[in-house]
Amino acid sequence: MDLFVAFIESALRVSIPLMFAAYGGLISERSGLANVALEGLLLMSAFAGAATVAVTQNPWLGLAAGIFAGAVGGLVFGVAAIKSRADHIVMGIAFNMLVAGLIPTICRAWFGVTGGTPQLDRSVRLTSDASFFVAAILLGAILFWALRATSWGLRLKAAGDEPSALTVQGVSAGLVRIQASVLCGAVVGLGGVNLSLCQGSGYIREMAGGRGFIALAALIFGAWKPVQAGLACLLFASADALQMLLQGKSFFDFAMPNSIVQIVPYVATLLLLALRRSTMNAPKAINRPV
Amino acid sequence: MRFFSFYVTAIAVALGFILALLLTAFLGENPLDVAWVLIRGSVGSSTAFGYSLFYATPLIFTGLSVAWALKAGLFNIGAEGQMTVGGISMAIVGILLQDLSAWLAWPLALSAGFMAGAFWAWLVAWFKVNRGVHEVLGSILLNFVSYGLAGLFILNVFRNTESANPETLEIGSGFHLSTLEWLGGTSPLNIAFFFALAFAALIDLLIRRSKIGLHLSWTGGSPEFARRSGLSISKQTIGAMMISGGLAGLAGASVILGYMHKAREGFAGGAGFVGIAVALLGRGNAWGVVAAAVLFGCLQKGSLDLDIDTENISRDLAVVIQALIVIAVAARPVFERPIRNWVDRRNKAVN
Repeated sequence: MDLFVAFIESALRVSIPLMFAAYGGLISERSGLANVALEGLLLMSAFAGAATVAVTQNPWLGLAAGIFAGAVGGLVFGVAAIKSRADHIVMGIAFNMLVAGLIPTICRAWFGVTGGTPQLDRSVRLTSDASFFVAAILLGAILFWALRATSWGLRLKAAGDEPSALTVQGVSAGLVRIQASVLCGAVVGLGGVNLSLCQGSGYIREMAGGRGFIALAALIFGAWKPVQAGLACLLFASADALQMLLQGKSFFDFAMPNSIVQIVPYVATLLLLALRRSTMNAPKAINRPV
Repeated sequence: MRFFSFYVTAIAVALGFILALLLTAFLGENPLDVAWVLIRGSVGSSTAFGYSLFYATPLIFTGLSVAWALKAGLFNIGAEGQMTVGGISMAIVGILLQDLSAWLAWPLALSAGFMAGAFWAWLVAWFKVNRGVHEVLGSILLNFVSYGLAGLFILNVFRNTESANPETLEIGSGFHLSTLEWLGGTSPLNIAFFFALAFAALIDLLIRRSKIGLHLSWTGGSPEFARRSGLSISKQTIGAMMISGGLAGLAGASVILGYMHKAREGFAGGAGFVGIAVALLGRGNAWGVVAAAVLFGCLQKGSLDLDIDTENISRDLAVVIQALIVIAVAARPVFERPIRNWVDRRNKAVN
């Protein structure tokens, strides 16, 4: 029973950064901007949050810095992808590469090491997992409402499905997408801050560990809809929680090698994604230039 | 026209370098010093250049791999994973068949690497064709799975318990690829570099002169046309991904057969990801891929010295430069048009 409670608890905790990343990705993808840059955005905001706290010793400034860094990253990615009319996936991969190179470079210049920020004391971290979780659920609810009932939501969906409909109204679809990308970055930023200031004690190299891509998978699995995407995050998070639970355990005197246990969430994500063909729900003008 | 395209690419590369060097100025380094470290470290001596070519060797394979898939309109970002399973397979063959003579050993190990990489990419293609899983997601998820499998073989199945490092047992001596002292000095540069060039020549020929290459470019360039010409897009996708994966599977040869003579954790070292940048910079041309791989190999080698010779920056600057180059290349249309206008105006003035 204790094991079950521990499993649920860790599944809920692991789902937090996934949900923020998936909701951020949802905003961006519904506007037609294909987003494989979630991983880079997570890393960037996780680093910015931890670095700010390491310097100022103030967790709230860290939270603000993480969200701000995410928004700036979203702006850079959005402008680069939309204005250049390049393939969004190429741009997203390049953005991830840029972040993967920039963080250790800046880290060495500021903290003397490339591996991460100094360890942060518990007193300067954001320790409430529960508030992050509630914030993520609330965000899902707000998105659910905003996509149906606000003019912002309608414009977002129009930019993703039929950008010319916006052009006719005199609204720039490109601008809608860039705004969406900034908002996406800010939302993903909350997930990044959760990683480095709540679940971890500072930034460590590559700490997102593919969560950006798993979140993208959850978003696709959830058919680009907020409620379903949120549930998909919980599902994929429980695969990750299972992995943590299995680590170091043995079955019938056979010790499971950790390297095999570690692949559980990725295999589960791939198989679940294959089980449900949801790609037909993709925004119609996704990854098309405007 | 091709000449013009070359110039635009060269400008993109220069732009990437300049932006990254400006960044180093912000971080408190003298950009000229940084540039000098990069140049000296990569081409300063025959050993340094040998190392650069040694680093370029896997990049040629992964670059060709990504470029081949791109021709078919597929984005294979799983070259890292395909390289990992390919390299592990080569090591397994080498460990199990200790006494094989060199004439049998190399071809066998290379085929094992090719087939393992091809199989890994086939999985991606299968999930895409049959279950609608986008190849970007499929291949990135399988990358993580491949690290786990490699870990299993390196840390558990074939672990060398006498070594303090996490590494496998040694491969048989017949599998060792000979090093090229005349070209690379004391660097581990080995004959795999020439294998890579041979594959580049082969791929160049296939793309420009063969039916396979033609069908590939139809599939990527105009799927509707390909379909109406009687091609099965599914089969083309699977075939293209398998060749792409096989090429990436060969990328470990230089490191595992030519240098380590065993497999260590993380032996791929990101070559699969840099291969994406190499392919985009090489613009789908096999010799362009070779040139880009050599450039990035030099960058990788030169940047190692940054750890020691500078106060504030590290080898990770190479990744920043690579990323900026890719962004500049992808954003070519932005500065292509002004340049074209300028060239046109000048031509008019001359006439």
